[in-house]
Formats: sequence, C-alpha cells, structure tokens
Amino acid sequence: MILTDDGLLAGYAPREGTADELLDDRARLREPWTAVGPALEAMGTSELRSRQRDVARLLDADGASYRIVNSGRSQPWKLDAIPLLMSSAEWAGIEESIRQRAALLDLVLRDLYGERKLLSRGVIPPELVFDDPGFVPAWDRESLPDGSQLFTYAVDLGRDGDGEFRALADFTQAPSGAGYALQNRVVLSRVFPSLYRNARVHHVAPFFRSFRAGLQALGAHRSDDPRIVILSPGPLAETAFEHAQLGGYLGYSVVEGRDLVVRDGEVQLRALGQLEPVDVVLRRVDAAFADPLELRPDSQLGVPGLVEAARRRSVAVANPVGSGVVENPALHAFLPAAAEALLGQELRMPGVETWWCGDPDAKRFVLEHLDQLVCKPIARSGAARTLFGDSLTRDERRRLAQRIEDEPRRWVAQRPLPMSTTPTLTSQGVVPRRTLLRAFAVARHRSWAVMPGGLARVAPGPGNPLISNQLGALAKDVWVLASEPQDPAELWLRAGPTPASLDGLTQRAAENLFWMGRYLERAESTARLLRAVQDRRTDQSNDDATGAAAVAALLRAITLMTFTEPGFVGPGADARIADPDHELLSLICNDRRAGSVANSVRRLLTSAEAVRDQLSLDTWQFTSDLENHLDTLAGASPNRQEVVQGTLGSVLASLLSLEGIVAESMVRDAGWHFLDAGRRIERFLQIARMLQSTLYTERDDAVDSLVLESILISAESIITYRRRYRSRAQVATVLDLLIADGGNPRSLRYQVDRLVEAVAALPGNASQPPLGREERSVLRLQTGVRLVQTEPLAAGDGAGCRAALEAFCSEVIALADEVAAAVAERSFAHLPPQRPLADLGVRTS
Amino acid sequence: MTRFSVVHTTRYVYEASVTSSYGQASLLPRSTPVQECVGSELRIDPAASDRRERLDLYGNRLVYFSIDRPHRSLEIEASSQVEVVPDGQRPPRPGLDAPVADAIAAVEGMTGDVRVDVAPFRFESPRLGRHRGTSDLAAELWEPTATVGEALARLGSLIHERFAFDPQATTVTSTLDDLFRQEAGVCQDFAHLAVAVVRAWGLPARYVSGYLETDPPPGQPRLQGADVSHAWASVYLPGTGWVDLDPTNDQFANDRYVTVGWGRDYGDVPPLTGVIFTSGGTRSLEVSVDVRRVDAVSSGA
Repeated sequence: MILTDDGLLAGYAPREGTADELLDDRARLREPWTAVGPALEAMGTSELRSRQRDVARLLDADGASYRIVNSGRSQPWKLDAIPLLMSSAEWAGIEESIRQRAALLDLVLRDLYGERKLLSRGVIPPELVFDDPGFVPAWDRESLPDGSQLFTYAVDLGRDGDGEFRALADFTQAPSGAGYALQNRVVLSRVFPSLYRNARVHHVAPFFRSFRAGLQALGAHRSDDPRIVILSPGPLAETAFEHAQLGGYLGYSVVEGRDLVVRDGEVQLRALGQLEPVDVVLRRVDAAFADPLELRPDSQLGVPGLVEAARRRSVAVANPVGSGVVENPALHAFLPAAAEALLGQELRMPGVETWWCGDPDAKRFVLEHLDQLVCKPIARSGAARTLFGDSLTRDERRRLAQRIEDEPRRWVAQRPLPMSTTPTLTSQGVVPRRTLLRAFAVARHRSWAVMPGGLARVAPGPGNPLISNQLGALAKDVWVLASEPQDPAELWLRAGPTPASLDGLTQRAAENLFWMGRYLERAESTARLLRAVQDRRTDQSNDDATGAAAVAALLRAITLMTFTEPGFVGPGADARIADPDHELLSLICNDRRAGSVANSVRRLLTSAEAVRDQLSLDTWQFTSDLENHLDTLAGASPNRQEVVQGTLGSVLASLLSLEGIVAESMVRDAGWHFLDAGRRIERFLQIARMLQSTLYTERDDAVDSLVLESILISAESIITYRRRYRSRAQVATVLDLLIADGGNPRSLRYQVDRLVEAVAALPGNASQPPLGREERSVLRLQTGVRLVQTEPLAAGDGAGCRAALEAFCSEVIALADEVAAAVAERSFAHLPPQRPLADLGVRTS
Repeated sequence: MTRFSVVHTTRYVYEASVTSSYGQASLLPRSTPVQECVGSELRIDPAASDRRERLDLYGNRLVYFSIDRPHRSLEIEASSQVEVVPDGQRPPRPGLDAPVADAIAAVEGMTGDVRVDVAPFRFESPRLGRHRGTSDLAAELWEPTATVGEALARLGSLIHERFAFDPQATTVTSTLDDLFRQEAGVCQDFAHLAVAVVRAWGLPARYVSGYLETDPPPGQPRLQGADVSHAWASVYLPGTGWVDLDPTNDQFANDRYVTVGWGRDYGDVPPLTGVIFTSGGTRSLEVSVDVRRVDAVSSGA
C-alpha cells in the first residue's frame, strides 16, 4: 500500500536508524497498518484533529485524570487519537514471553520469601536482596492462600535496535495502568466506531473477567462469594481515577485504610452500623504504607494488623506486601540464570542489558562506559533519579562515578533502549514519537491472563529520553488486530456469581454523600441569593432611596446567611454596603473563604471525589465543568463583573444538572438517602435563615416589597407567587408559600416531609419504637413546621420587629441542626486519631 | 547452668480513652547456643482480644496482640526463665585470635547458606545508613594485622571512653549523628555505633536486645543498664560464629547476659511497638526490669 503524497502521513519521516511501527526501513506500511493507515489517511488532518477533540471531550466527561505527585493538582488524562497497532502473530509471541516472565517472577518471590535457594546457590547475590527496601522481612515465609506471591503484574516493553521487544521495567508491588488502558479503549472505540469494528481489535474485557475470576479465587477458601475491596490511598492518590474506575467496572467497593479494621485477625469493613468481613483486598496503597503496626509506623493510609491478617490467610492481600522486591532493576542481570534454575528454560524475552555495580567486574565495566549507559539506584523512587550517561557533563559524570564508587551495591546501569517510534498527532501534524508499551497480566488458574495490547505511552517531545505520566507523556490505545472478527458478546462481563447483596456503603462514603448533599444546596442557595442581590442592584437607579434600603437589607442578609461577618453587618459594614463590589466578589470567588460560593463548590467536589465509585458516570461532566468555573472565578477581577456574573450563572446551571442526576440517575439505596438527607437539611436551613435575616426587621411597605420580591426570586418561587397572589408581595402570603405550602419544593414544609422519609430510610431506622435520636428530632421538626400559623408570624411586635417569626425560625433551625448532629452521631462514628504507641527504646527511665 | 528469672514490665497510662490497640512485643527470650529459654509468659492487661506468637526472619519470638475494648492504661509483663551456659563451659572462640584482614577475607569468600544468613548484617540497615563520623572512627581504628579480639576490645574501650552514658542525651529515634554531636548516649546508641563500625570494616554485625543480671555477685560492681533493657553488638567471625561485645560496659558479653533477640538494628527488635486509637496522648510510661539468679543447677554436661 502506498500513501498519497499530500495526505495526513505525507511528511511522516521516521528517524534514520530507529525502528518505526508504521513504516519499515523502505518506507512501506507495516502489515498491521495496511487497513488502518489508509483509513486514517483518507480521514485527513482536520478530521483527525476533530476526532482528537472528541477524545479529549469524552475523557473530560468521564473525569479521567492523573494526579501529579506533590502538586495537589490532577491533570487530564491525555490520549492520542492514533492507536498503536500490533499484529496477532507478533502479539502472540509477546504474550507468551510475558506469561513466562510473570511466572518466573512469582517463583523468584516464592523462593526469596521461602527457601532462598537462589541466594544460597549464588544465582542472585543475597546482599542485593537484603539491601533492597522492597524486601519486607515481615513477609518472610508468608504467601497468598494458594502459595503464590504475585497476582497482578505489569511490564514496560520497548524495542531494541533489532526491532525486538525487551523488558525495561517490571511492576509487581501495586501495578497501575490497566484501568487507564480500559478507559483508552472505551473512548477510542467510541470515537472511531467503524474503524475499530473493521480492524477486528482483540477485546480487553476478557482480561478483566480473568481479573475478577482471579480475585474470586483468592477468596475461595473463605467463601463462595468472597467480599472483595480495592484499598486506595484516597482521592489524592496519583491514580485515584483508576481505582474508582476499576471499582466501578469490576463491581468492588473502593475503600481507604480507615474503612477497614482488623478484629480477631480478620479484616472487617466499617459499613454502616456494623462490621462486614472482607476476604480479598486488592492493594493499591504502597506496601510500605499498608500496615502502620509492622511497616511504616507513620502511615495513616494503612490498616493496623493487615499483615498479620494476611499471614493467617483470613484475608488475601494482592499483591502481597513483599512483592516489590522483584521490581529491583538490578535483578535483570540475574533473571536469565534464575529462569534456568527455576523453570529450566531460557528467558523468551530478554530484559535490557543490565549491570549491578555490587559486582566488582560489573562496576569496573560501568565506570569505563558511563557515557553509554543509563544509571539508576536499585530502589525505584521516581523517574527523576535516572541518569543518562550520554547527556551528562564531564563534571556530572565524575560525580556519578564517585557516587557509584561510594555505594556500588546501590547502583544499576543499563544499556539505553532505542525504542521504536509511532505516528502521533501533534501541533506539527503526525510525527514519529518514541513509544513505551506497558503490558498487564493477572494470575488465574496457575496460569497468567495477559491483556491484549495494553497501555502505550509516547514521549512528550522528540528529544525526551524518559517516558512518564508524571513528565507529561501522552497515552495511546494498543490495538492487537485479530484475523477473525471478534465476538461482540465478549464485551460483556458475564463470569462470576451474582454480586453480593451488601451494598458496601462505608461510613466514610455515607458521610461524604451527606456532605455532598449539603454543599450542593449551600452552593446553590448562596449563588441564587447573590444573583438576586445583583439583579436588585442593577434595577436600582442612582437616587432611589427605597431601592438602596432594600439592597442594604439584602446585603446584611447575605452576611448573616453565609456566616461571613463582619461583611455587611460587623465593623466597617456601612462603607462596604456603600461600595459592596469587593466583598461580593470575595463571596463568589474566594474558595478559601468559608461560606463563599467557590468554597462550597470546592467542598462539594472534594466530597464527590471521595465517593467516586458511588456516583453515576454522568456526574463527572458537571464536576469537571465546575472545576473550570472555579478556575475562571479564581482569576476574576472586580472590574470584570460581567465575567463573574456570567460564571456564577454557569455554576448555578452545573449545580442544577448535578441535582438532576442525583434525582434521575441514582438508585434509591442507603447512599442516596444520606445524600438526600443532607440536601433537605441544608435547603431547610437556608430558607429558614433567609426568612430570619431578611424579615426580622419591619420596614416600610415599599422597601419590604422589594426585599420580598428578591426573596421569592432567590427561593425560585416568584412565578408561583405572582400567579397565585397577583398583587404586590405581602409578608404573610410569602411565608405561606415558603413555610407552609407542602407542594412547593422550596418550602420548609416540603423539605421536612422529604427529610422524614430520608431519615426513615436510613439503615437501621424502622420508624417503630424505640425511635432513634434523629427520628425523634425530625418528627419534632415536622410537627413544629406543620402546626405553625403564618399569619401571626407576619405580624410585628410593635417594636419594629417580627419577634414571632424570629422565634419560630430560631426554633426550627436549632431542631434541623439537631437532626444533622443526630445523623452524624449515629452513622459517622469517627475513629479517634491513630497514634504510635509511645516508645522509650532501650534506656533508663 | 545458671538460671535467671526475668520480669520486664511496661505500663502505659493514657490521657484519654483508647478505643483499640494493636501491638507487637519482642520480649520473650529466644534460645541461642549459650542460653535456653525454659519458660516464658506474656501477660497483657486489659486482656488481649487476639494474640499470636511467631518467629521473625531472624528467629526471634514476636507476639502480636490486639485489644478492641476501650481502655485507659495498658500493662505488659513478660516473665521468663532462662538457663545460661556458664563462662567456663562455653566453647572456645578461635576467631578472636585471627587477624582482622583474614576474617574479612573469609567473610568475602563465604558461599551457600552461611552467606545468606549473614547477608542482612553486612551493610547499611534502615537505622544505620552511611555516616561520616562512623567511617572516620572505623578508619581511625583500622588495624588489619591486629587480631579481631584486639580490634573489638579497642572499639569497646574507645566508645566507652569517648562517649558519656547519659539517658537525657538521646531518644529512641536518635541517630548516630546525634550521638556524635552530644558525645553521650545510652546502650542502644553505643551498640548501634559498634555495629556500624564493625560493618564498615567489612565484618557482619548485628544489634542484640536483652538484659543484664540486676544485682552483681558479691564483690563485683553493679553494671550500667542492669535494671532496664540492655543492648549490645554481636560480630560474626567465620569458623567461630557470633561473638557479643558490650561497648556500654567495655567488655565481651558473659554469663550474666540474657539475650532476647537480634536484628540489623534497634528497628528490628524494639521491645514493644504498637498503634493506638485515641484522642489524647500518653500520660506516663513506666518500665521496670528485674533479672535474678534463681538457682544454680549443675549442667551435667
């Protein structure tokens, strides 16, 4: 197949001497590209760019992200529209090699934590193993229940100068990336439906079926339907997105250390109101942090006693905490001999050529060839410490040589891997970029299932030697092309027993859902009020004393409702009421100020992130929009009011969309009831506080009428009111609509009725005696609202105030706060802080 | 045989209620070529809801325990009976008479199981990383033609002379750097330093946790560290095995020492570690150790 001279790939020119995935050394298309290449070519650059935008949009809608270590920020997952293609024939060979390598590393681990024959026979130097922080003494003589040491495995592969794949790095500790590969596939198959179908791509779903089946098997000695959880460091983890994504796809709860507790040597999930046994933990917390009792004592991410429970095999922790020791790059130098000793086989796929400097001959060779080698410490600690000899200055090389001389056992040198290039869409068009392929395997039935393809990453620029997501690499989907069409039925997960009836809602998840509901309402009501006030200010003409009095009343109410004193009520309030722009801008934009719109939205997003696995996928489009709005607001200046007001409108729109998803896409399970209880309590409080802070003082009718209109607008009830009462606003009728009208979704009565339902539906509440504290308080609240007569509330006390209204509002606010406190007390029992036992060491007291 | 009765009590009083505790105790003496633990008991108050004893990588006895009821104090009492081989009946240690250089060469030539067994103790360990003061001290004392016995004796004397015994000078987390800066420390620091220097020379060394007889036999002085946990160093000599050196008291360990366990450094054998869940701190921590000769039984050997 010959490409056109002016098409998409016309200027595509691989570098001399570097293997390319698309073109062979005579610039002919390689076999896997014979169909897809011309199809891309026919698409043309502008169409491809448009598909690239679709890719970004779909990833954004799913909230696909990757958190940058130590930055507190996550960056969007970046996927190139052009996949990497592999033929079935070549892949079959790679797959076999990966199986062999995974099996070998499992056997090496079994030996290192068992008989250590590899060490006593000198196949692997014992000093290399015992010096490696990845070797965990606490795991000595232990294994998974079936005797194995490795469950999931990943390996980075790249082509050498001969075009053959070599293993560059092994991942055994807590391998990541399989979930991102799945995400890539979901997106790319949607962006190129016909191309994907016609290319007959091997599906990845069977791999995840094996993943599930393998995890089930790990818990089979405990139960026919073992409870499996994913232990994550939480929403701030580098790959938090992947944890939630795997949890959702495989159907497992994503939990954090504090959600688990070890009792009597067994791991239990701190579910609502009870402990539920856990049989299998898919560990995504780094081994060192998994158990503060036996590993790092300062870890707040682990579960004390987890290692002991794993030892007793009451739980299977996969991968085991000791599995990291075979990630040591120095092992590459000894794996061929280990394969010979343990498997009686040659390594099918060689690793990159490696020298461990702890061996005197190897060290001499390395020091003589520093300029041609890549040097790294034996313990993996971030890509930044890998040193490329050819890019070092003479001085830097001398310093490196000294470090190697000082601690030779801590250093490894490897021959740089040339790696092949693949066509990648950049701003300069489609160009060749160096490519690394991460492949995934999972243990099943004494064998290994390998994901067809995997996760490819290309260098961020033409010169970069390192390819790492932390450094901005771009991902690629990998298509292994089948000779036969793929059975579409395989796309569906069908293996495994029916999921357990337990919904796996942890106390932490319930609490986050409750607060998500509260912040959703808080953000909405603050945004509405600020908008109503802005509208009132816009209507007000320069010499309009009535309008000015109404605006002042509303500004004071804002401060009281958002608890942001002094603001428009405390010291200096008069000046700020005269010129409120600065304070109003802060109440919208400043996300560090409690009570501001931005702050409530930020907290809403934090709560949502923490329960990612509980929420509908549609949620993430809107949280992603909200993130963008927050960025806009953070950069807003006082003289760009129209931007601020416009963004405030967008925030409100996104919040309403989220409420729609909550109402229409969430199953009415325990989690939803917590979220709804949070929403109802907060909306109730917001309405009651608004009435209290705006109507306590009696003003002349003209001012009150403007204030009442703004209240009705803010409470989204103005249209109903006008239709029903037609006349000018009156306090009594406004109170009727906002307090007593059970049909108005913005009334106190409506909130309290829904709240009674939500509280009754919370786990453990039967609405029968003896009633719980939150049931009793919510019934008191409901009675108070139902019995109230609005006419007397509207009347003044003769001293210029509406004392009866004030008393009523104070009473119901206190009761609603009491309901919230009662729900929290019963359902969100917090563990006290985890601390190390005091240690005096060995000394006199 | 000399029989010792050892009682080691640790008592924590907390400021607030502790809802649950998880602990690991390295308090039950192991058996060694020169001692046998003939009885031991670990009492935990309040009673542990779960406990289990196991051997660690180095063969030490570790007890895991957890308490899942609220408590305000925790008392752990380890009582053991240990029979120690008297000095006169211990096997000779020819390795002490070999030149240091020969011992190092023999270590470097080791193969097989022995090499694996000593590998963890040859180089840096979590609490004993590379350290300038230590390498300088190792160089200062480096005398390859001296016998190992002489070299170790000099090391013990030098540590004893150069550093003062002062429990206020360092804490459980102190490093060798702190020891050099303060020029003072306790047995844990001195043992660490001896281990690090011996490793810098090229011989395997480990950290030993244990006890000293509390009351001296008539006419002998009371030793430092006799009423608390004690720690010293142990050095591997090819052909001879492990030889224990107590730099705190400037002597080789004898039949008044009882070993609990050993590791690469303190971090492998702390008497008690744990995790507690509480909103308060620890009000007090009291430790007492009593090591008494109970009777002298003739060994018959």
